[in-house]
Amino acid sequence: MDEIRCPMCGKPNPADLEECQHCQARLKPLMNTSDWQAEEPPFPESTPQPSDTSGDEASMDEWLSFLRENEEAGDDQGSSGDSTFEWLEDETDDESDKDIWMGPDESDEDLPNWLKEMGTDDLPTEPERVHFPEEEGDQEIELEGEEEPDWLQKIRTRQMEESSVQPETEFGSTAEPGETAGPELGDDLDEELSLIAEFEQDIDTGEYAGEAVPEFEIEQEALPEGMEEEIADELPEPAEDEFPAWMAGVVAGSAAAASLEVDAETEGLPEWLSDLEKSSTLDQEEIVPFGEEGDDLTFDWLQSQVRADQDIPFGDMSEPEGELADIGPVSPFVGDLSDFLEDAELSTLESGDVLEETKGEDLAPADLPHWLEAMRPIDAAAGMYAMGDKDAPVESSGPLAGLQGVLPVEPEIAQLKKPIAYALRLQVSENQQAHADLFEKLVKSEGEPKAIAGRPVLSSQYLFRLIIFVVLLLAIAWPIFTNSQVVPLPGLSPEVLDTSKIIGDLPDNPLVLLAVDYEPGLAGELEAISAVVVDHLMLKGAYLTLVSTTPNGPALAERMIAEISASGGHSYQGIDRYANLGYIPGGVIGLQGFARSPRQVAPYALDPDSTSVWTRPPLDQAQNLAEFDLVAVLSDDPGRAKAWIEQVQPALDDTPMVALISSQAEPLVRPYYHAYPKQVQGMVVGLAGGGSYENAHQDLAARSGVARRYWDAYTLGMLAAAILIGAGGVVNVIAKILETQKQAKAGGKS
Amino acid sequence: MIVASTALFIGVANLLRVHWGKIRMARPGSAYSVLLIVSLVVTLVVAGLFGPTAYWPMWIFNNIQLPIESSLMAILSVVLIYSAARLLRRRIDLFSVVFTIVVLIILLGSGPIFGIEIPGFHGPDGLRALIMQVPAVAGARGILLGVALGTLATGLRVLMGVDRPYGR
Repeated sequence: MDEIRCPMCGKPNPADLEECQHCQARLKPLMNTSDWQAEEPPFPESTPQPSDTSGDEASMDEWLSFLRENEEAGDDQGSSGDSTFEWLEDETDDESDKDIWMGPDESDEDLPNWLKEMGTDDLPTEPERVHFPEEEGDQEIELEGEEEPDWLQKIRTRQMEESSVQPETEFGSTAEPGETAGPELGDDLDEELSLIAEFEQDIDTGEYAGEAVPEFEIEQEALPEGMEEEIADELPEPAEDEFPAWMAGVVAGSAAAASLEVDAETEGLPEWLSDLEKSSTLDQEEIVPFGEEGDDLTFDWLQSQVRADQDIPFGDMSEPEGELADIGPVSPFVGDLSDFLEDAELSTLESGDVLEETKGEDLAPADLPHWLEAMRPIDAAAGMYAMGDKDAPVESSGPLAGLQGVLPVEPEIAQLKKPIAYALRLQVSENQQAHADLFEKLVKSEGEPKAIAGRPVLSSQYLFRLIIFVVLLLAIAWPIFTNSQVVPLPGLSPEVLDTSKIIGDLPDNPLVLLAVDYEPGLAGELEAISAVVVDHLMLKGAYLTLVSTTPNGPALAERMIAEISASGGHSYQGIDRYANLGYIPGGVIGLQGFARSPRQVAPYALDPDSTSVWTRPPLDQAQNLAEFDLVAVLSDDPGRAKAWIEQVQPALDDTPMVALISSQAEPLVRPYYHAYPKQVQGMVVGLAGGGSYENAHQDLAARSGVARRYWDAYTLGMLAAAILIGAGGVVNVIAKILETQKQAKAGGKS
Repeated sequence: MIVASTALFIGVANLLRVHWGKIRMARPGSAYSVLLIVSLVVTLVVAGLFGPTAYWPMWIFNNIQLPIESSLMAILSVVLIYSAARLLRRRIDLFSVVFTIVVLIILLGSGPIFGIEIPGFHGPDGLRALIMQVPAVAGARGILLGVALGTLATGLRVLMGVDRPYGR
């Protein structure tokens, strides 16, 4: 160790220098203390001077608390970091400290530093632990004792003054002389143990009677098993009178992990220490699982905490004082109590005063040095930042240490509050409620079914329809059933005259194309029109070629031929007298095709043999429609009639075309008749036209006479219909006027 | 003509399918569908078996189809008379009055009333003939011209793709 590296500038300096020759920084620490003392700022000016007994007692409290915290910091360094004070964690986490005072084994962290030092010194397998590396000159510690803190020097001075013979610990002598740090460490331990012995003596002598001795438990250090055995083997068996009783218990308990009954009176221990010894013994003997401790928990603060969690008022703690001293079964973690639990205990003692009542002691507040209060402003901050609830817990660690009620945790979260019930009833006045009820009734009434007013069986409209039916029935049926023919037939009209003349001018056995394009509903009118004309043609011996552009046309044609033949006494049956070519599809286009090439469009007849009529007489002579002698169109539809006139008539050349049509088709067909040249050479329109044709051919009317039979009924029916419409219209107009006047009167009155 | 014949066949097939669907779904009025299908099948079988102008097909036509359609026309006459009479009850205006008067003129002028022809009312130069040859034809031809122009326009729109009645 020839050179010492300056901790400030890092430059090497001779080993004998105390200050850096480059930056004048101090190379050696001022104090020869333990690790926690070496790392902490010395605060020499703040250390209370033990001018009197009370000052010594205060200093005793201070170093004892430091000693305890140092031990507990070693315990909590790895396991309970959250419950360790931060300043102490920083110290214990320092790697340089570990390198110097602690071995690399993590289990050594549970040991107090002074005990670790003993163990490491005695371990032959790790001799390098006792060497102080040169590169860590800033942490090299002089263990000469020349830089003792003031308080320690004062204690030593007082010890010398009192000249009390204290038992010489064997720790110093146990170190091997050849080891580097052994004597120094032994001296350090010797000093500490001597201080402890002095403190015990003060306690025995009653100097600390009534002092606020911090209540703590000497906890069973959780040494690794191997470590404990090694320590027990390495350490010489001290005589019981060489150790303080409490230390003997600790050492023996750590080494042998066995229960040790220590008699406080014989060993001269104070009472509280003997109780602690008992508790330490009980910790190992009567360990019960956590949760099964029952009501006789060992620690009051833990009892208070449990009771607080269970909402047990403090007033219910009716345990006698003696029971508190009688420590029962302790949970397994009792021996490893950390700082925060002890602080909680202390806070419980301060706030609840339970322990004060049980112990009956007035503990004076500790006279802490101001530097310690500056480091731990828990009480001041708690009073300063207390938030409302005085019962809220005070944070004892972490950055929020000292604040009260800032982290309401489990107790408030777990509290199940009944949700606030809000009234759903609206605040409305009576008038508003009445309106609401009225509106509700209206809405409900809309959904309720209402009975439909019964309709009278015989209403005016029904009677009117019934009257119309009866009048028409009588007007039509009576002439038919009575065979009345009193009404004269209409006179001969020009179109009928032309038609009659055309048919009359036809040669014998003419070839006539008869188009049957009407619906069965109008068959009565069309049959009355066509009967006399077709009968006239049959009289002429015409060969009738029937064709239709409606699906019902072929059947109607068959019916017409059959009836007229039967009524006229003709024998129009079979393919020799007429040919029914059937239905020509396609409407106008079909007619156009039929007009151009009738043989291709309708080659076969509808007779049972499906005869190809165009190959047999008389149709074999007709190559086209122009070779027919007459084209007669029976139609009730003006459209179909127009189609025949417009599509077929141009292909007829000189062949005449006559239209036998219903009255409803007259307006659109008549212009073709009045055209020049005439596209339709003759017309028979409606029942009046048929009657007119019969009127012109009385001989024909005598045989068929269909128009004649219908004419009386037709005339009466038409007259009745006109009367009903006219009379009904007048009546309804009068009724409407009266109704309007009545409504006008009713409106004027209202 | 082939297209028209195919269209007629397709129409009959579609009629059969629609009413068969109504029967399967048991919809209201399916009994009429049953009657229709039965009539169709019977008529088709009879007409196909015996021919369209044979006795049995003509019997079906003369005794079923023709009376039914004639009865419908008879009912129509009653309904038309009733409607014409009620027209003035519903609405009394110039057109309603004119419509009613024209109907009466056409009905009474369709033939001599009990053999009596009223000069200026009956005959080819009478009021009825005037109405039927001038206003009625003018109106009918106007409608026909409108139908023709509409058909032409629709055909052009279909050809140009503006209207696609059978497409999406």
